[in-house]
Amino acid sequence: MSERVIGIDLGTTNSCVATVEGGVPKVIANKGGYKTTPSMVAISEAGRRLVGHIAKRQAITNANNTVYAAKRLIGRKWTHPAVQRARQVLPYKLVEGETGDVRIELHDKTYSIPELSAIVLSEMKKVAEDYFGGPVEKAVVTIPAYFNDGQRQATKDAGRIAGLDVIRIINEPTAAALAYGFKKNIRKRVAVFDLGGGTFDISVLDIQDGVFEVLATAGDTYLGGEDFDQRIVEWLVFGFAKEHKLDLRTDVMALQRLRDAAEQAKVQLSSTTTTDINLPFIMSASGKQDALHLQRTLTREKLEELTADLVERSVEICDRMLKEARLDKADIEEVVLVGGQTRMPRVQQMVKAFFGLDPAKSVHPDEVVALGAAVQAAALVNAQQSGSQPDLLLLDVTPLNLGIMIAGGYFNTLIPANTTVPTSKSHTFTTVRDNQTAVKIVVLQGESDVSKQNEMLGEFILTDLPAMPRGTMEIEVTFDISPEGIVSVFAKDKATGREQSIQVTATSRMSEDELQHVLEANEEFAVAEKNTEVFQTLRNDVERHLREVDSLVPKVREFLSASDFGEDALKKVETQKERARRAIQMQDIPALKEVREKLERANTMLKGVAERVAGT
Amino acid sequence: MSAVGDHLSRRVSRYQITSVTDTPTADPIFEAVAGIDITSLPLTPEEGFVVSRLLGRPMSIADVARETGMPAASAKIHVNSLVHKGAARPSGSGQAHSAGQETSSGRTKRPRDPYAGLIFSPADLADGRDLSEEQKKRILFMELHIDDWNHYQLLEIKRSASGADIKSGYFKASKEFHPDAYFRKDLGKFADRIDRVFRAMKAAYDVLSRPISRAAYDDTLVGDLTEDEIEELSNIADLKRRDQEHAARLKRNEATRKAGRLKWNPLAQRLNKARELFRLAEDARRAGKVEEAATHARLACTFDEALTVRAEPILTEADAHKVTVTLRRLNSAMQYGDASMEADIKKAAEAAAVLVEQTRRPELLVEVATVLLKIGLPQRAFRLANLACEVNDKHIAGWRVMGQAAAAEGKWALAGRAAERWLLLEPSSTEARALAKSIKDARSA
Repeated sequence: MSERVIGIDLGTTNSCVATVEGGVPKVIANKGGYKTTPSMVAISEAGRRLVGHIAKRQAITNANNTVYAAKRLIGRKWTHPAVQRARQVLPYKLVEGETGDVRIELHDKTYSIPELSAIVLSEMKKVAEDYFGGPVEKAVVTIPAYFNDGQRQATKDAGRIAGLDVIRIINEPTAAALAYGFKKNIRKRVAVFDLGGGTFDISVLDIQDGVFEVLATAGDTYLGGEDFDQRIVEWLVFGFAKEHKLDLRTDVMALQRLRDAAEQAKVQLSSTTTTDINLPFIMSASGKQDALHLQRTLTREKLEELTADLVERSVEICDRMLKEARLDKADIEEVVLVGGQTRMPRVQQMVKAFFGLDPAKSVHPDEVVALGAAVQAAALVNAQQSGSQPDLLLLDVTPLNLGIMIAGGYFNTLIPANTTVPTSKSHTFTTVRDNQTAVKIVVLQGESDVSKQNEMLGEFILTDLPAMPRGTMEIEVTFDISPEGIVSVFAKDKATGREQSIQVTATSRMSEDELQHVLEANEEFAVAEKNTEVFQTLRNDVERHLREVDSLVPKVREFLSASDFGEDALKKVETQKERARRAIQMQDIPALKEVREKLERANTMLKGVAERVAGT
Repeated sequence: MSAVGDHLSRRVSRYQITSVTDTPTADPIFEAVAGIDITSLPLTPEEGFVVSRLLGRPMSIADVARETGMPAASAKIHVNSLVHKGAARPSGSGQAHSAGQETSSGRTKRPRDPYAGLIFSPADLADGRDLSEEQKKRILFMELHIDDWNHYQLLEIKRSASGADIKSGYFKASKEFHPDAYFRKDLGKFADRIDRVFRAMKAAYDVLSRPISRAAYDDTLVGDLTEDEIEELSNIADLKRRDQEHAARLKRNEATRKAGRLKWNPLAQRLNKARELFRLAEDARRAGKVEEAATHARLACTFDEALTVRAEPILTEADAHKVTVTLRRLNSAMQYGDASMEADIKKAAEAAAVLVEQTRRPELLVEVATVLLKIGLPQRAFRLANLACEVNDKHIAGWRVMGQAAAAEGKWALAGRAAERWLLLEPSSTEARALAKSIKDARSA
């Protein structure tokens, strides 16, 4: 008998567990007969842990101690703007953890997010164990494709805490594609549009001969059904405030009731065009006022108006992804809709309009991700147990750029997004100063050109370098991503052959202060892009501009000094000149690029003025 | 790319396969190649017929001729063509094989032992408990060739593979070598080997899956090819060359047709010719060759009448030029000539009169009229002078000649009016007064 393995879709609002039995993937229902379980955890007055439907049922009366949408916080730093925004809308209390992570305080006890996610995971494990009548250990857990390394690691931690052997973490849209294409013997290019409770993902895959090749993926970890609910809640709150001059958000219980009503209204508007929201006694009588009731009618049209920008954003992300991956929309042969929010007619219309295709009907948007996870779990275990080739293979990609910080605080990508894993890439860097004996390699992940705006994965210092003039030292940095998605970084000084490496496995346990310190105060350890050719051309350009500026300035000085504005402009030109000289000295390529542009503009300005001076 | 093609064709010629018919064997036996999908080969109907006879029944060319009812010569051609296209081969039985045939049959897709000549270290084969021996051999074999095989060989695809073929090859390779295919198996040192092989395959796929990088890579490959690849590439080059030739032929035909259409359209041709001549005329005029310009212009007008209006100024100018020249000659003839030349002078003067009438230039008209008067043709002289005065009624000399001519003819009324005009324009002229007086006298007489 083959080993029991499960796939778990750990969703923002709902979770789902599935397995493969007799070659057929199927969802396992919980004891209540529900195929999905709310991803909610609560601590009751008596201190008992409540999960799933029970937690959801008591959420209104115990809002302060009921955690929902924890997935939106997993692996996030306390200072992340999304966390700060969440603090204002969530009824439960967020506190900063010792290592700069996010914790949740319930009944005076703080819980880390992986701990809370683990409670949901163990509930799903229990659902499966009840079904099998025996223990289950191995599981594939899904995450949004756009999760960064920290979020992935935190999800893995959650699995470990729940007593699961998480054999693989896979992306939700990929899982959906696996379930869609499993045993179908199809040869197709498929787009998976996954608008779930909390996150949005879009992936494009080629499916052929049982191989699933992810071509591109993109997304937004802060766009999902929760945001749609929030829009309705705000609409209700403002309407109520207008009428009664009372802010319902001050009342935690009222807010929880609003949230429930909003979700229900949204779900109903997927099948009807209008719905009533009735919340009697929303505010209990206090002092001079009688009890207040909330009663409003929401039309589908109004809902679409309230959420138009959210839907728009998802389509924009699709467009951007196709452009960046240089894929042609016309080559996509099938669109699979995943996630409860894709039931909204407006979303379906937009997707249809964008891809020019009717979405696949065979897929259940709530269950398909768990089914795909189960399919992958079964495939891996089969590969382990049989001697033949697997009948299903997944070729996945990295969702984000991976690279290191270089001089000036810039981000240098080594492995770009949408590269198939496993992969490795090397690049040679150099020192910034004469006789520099140490360099710091700061490993980052993200989309920005500026290091600070990206997620830091780790850092290390390569020391005892031989003293050499700047720009001559050669330091080879190699990035490697294993099939498991584990990132390793090696740095090698080519002169001595000395090598250093880190494996980015654990959640980066670095506090924000430390991070700032690393990103800002490391001038003496900075590395630079080793590219003398680029530097030479830049240097020539900049020096030419400098000469031009120098020749122009005396001609226009008198004219410009006459006005405050002119005086200011002259000063600015002087600053740019100074900056250019420093950049040349530092061999700082990004700074040179910037200063070249500025000087060019200054030159055009000065030329214009000089012409006018000559004309008068 | 063409450099590559040249290079290939040169390389290929060295590996040219000796044709089966060159072998000195008396009666070679042929058979259909087993396991080949004949429908996928580019066979002619005759070849298809022949190969259908050969299926499962090796036979000689004479047998083929008998079976198909073809002449032996054409049967031979078809069989050779089939051998060339890979559908048939000389039968393996019998000792009638020369070296040439060996090469030929070696070239057909008979499965070869891929590991021939390789000795696997027992230490290596003892490692990795969860792998079969065949798997281990395959992994070791592939790892051995990571560096010396090109991307196509690594993915086990043809040089001519399409984008879809490359993807299929990579997917097939992935299923065999992706680390997930050996999930949590006890692989020992083979784990690293599999990883290395898969990464090499992925790198190969990354290059070949993008047309630009593939083309750049192909350019680096020519120096290092296997025999199979050379043959395949030469096939590709052949196909490409044929395509190019076809395209060139089409283009040429189109050009010829177009030229032909123009050639056989007389109207278009005339117009072309007229335009060409007129261009020449204008060029000549600009160069100061008035007469040449007139000739061309006149010719042009015969081809296209619409050009007449534009040609007129050129022709007039030429006429005026001619008159001037003739006058110069006449003047000198009259000055130095004798009576014997009188007839010639008259003739020339008349010709000049005709020409000058066309130009309608007063100065020239008057000049010719003067000459005509001098040589005793007052009637013609009067006409020209009259014309000159019509064009320009203030032309003194015109009226003068007109008066003199009329007087010479005895048309006193006309002569008197002309003399009057002359006097009006030139009151101080004694000559005019004398003329007027003589006319008056004559009339009164």
